[in-house]
Amino acid sequence: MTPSTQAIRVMFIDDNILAAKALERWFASAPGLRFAGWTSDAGEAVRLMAAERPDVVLLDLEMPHVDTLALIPRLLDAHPAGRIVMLSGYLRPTDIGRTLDAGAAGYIGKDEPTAVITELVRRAARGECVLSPLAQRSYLGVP
Amino acid sequence: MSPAALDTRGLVLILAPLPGDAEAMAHVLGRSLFPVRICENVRAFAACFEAASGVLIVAEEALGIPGEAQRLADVLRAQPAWSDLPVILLASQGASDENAWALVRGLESVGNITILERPLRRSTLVNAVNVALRARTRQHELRAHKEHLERLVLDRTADLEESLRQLHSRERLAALGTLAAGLGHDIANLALPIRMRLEPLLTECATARAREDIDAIGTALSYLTNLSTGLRLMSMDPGREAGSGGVDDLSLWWAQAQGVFRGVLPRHVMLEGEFDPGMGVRVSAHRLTQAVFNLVQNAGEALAGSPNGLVRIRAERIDMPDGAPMIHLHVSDNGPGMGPEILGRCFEPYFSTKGRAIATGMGLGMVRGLVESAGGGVEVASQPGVGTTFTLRFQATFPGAHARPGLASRSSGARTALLSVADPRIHAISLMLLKGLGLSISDGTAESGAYDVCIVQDRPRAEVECLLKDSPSAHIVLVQTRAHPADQAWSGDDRVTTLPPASPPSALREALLAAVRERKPSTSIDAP
Repeated sequence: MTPSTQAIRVMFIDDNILAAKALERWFASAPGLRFAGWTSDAGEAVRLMAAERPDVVLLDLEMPHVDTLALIPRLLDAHPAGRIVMLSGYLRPTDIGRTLDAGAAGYIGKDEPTAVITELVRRAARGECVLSPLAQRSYLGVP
Repeated sequence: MSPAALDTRGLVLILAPLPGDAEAMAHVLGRSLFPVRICENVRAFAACFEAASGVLIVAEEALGIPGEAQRLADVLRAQPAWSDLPVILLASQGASDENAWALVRGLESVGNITILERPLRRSTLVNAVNVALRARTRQHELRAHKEHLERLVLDRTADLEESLRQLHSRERLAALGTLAAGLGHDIANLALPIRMRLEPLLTECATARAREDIDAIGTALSYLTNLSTGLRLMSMDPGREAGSGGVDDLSLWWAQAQGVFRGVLPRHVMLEGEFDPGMGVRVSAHRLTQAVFNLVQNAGEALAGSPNGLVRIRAERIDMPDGAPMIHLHVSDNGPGMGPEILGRCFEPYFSTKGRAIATGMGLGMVRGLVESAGGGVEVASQPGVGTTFTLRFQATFPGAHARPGLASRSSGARTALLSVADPRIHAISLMLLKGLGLSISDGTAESGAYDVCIVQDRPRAEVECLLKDSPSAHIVLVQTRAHPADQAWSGDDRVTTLPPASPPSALREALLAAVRERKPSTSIDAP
């Protein structure tokens, strides 16, 4: 859990460099958030997790040559206090269920407005488990 | 031969040129109740030979006439495959073996021949006819079995072909869903960085013109995002089937799916939707989207040559005589319509009146399959020159329609959950799920009996019983984080779901969905 006076440090694991650059720029201007690094490699992600000890990790579900669901416990082993949140373009209930079962703290759809993503990152850093509205609708079958 | 049935008293044909011999045999056999017919030559035999014929008795002298043996062989050779008429050849007294064998050789390739030498005892003749008729009866039985088997094979083959057709269609449907989901995912991946870079620009840009441009880009991006979500609605997901009671709000579904539908219509064709908020249907989103997608695609093809083409989709609530609400989803076009002949066949698998550049294999038969698998139905009305309307009928759902009667609102109208879990992760997951399901959450200080759902951790049996007593309509999810003594085990009350140690969040989700929907939960969920 992060003290309220410190910025929430967010790491991004995704093979989409356009999204990574955009997130870095976004977090640079978002109050209370700080970009703590980006990688698309599983081994590098575990190393960064231990070295940077981010508060929140935004992880993409589908990346080439990376079993992201298996990566979640490895990341948590490297830094148990870190909060892993899936940020994905897929909103299938099975994906959301497997992500949470693997130990993630939440699931956010990439279609969500930026403000929603930011707020959910803050809540995840506070220790909550989070589902974005689209993910909630898919996973729980409610509007 | 006609395919008449035969009983064990099948017709006995007697081929004998001498009337005295024939009549004597007919008399003997008639006394044993065999139906008999006398044929004076092979031509007469051929005329009366049929499936009901049981046995042929041939007097040797009947074949002594030149050409008769060959003619008899021809008649016997013409029998169908199942038939092998028994023939009893009556050799003349004193005739040489050579003569008899010569006759047998002439018929053996086509006949089922027994040779008896005259004079005969009556019992010998009757016994020989009986034996021959029993053999003939077996032939008929085998024929019936063979025909039955052939019918079964034909039926099973037809079933198999139909299954293969359906499988093929499902595979195409699944492939289309996968393609759509992948495309939707890729659009979302690209839209995210655009959105993240666009929104800061709104605060940074100085001129009204620039803000207007950014707003316009934002609007386009929002359409793109809806298209992305709609595309993913096309994807099949068994998990969604299990976890969702259906589309809860058609107006929300329409907002997401309409972009996909517009994409398959020619540019000049208008698409309109009319949905009252809060109207839901008991069919999964992907099935509904695929069914409507196919109807809209068909309408678009029908309207290709119409300058003022319009496809209109609207939902209508219909209250059935028994009070059950239904939703009728009408998909109409003002295209050329269908005549009675096409209308009558349009739901047949692979029936089509047109070729398609890209065949999806999703015929109207598949639409009907998608709708009927959700317990709904499809009707079509069409008038040449006016247009066509497909009506998809589904059970209606309304907000709260899935809730168990016991979960009905109390004084405030809100459903309340007790959350008393010490494990931080299970607590956080429970909180997320309960909030997502729209329940207000209490930590145990609410008045007794006010709970609809309780998630409690490692409670002893006596405390669970107290909870049930205080909240008779509550469903209790008992989360166990450690092994409990056998006398604390819970079973036999379907209001309690026990989650054993190390149960994953998905088990908690299943238990909660079972609690807040009408599905009956199991009383225990196995640990992974």
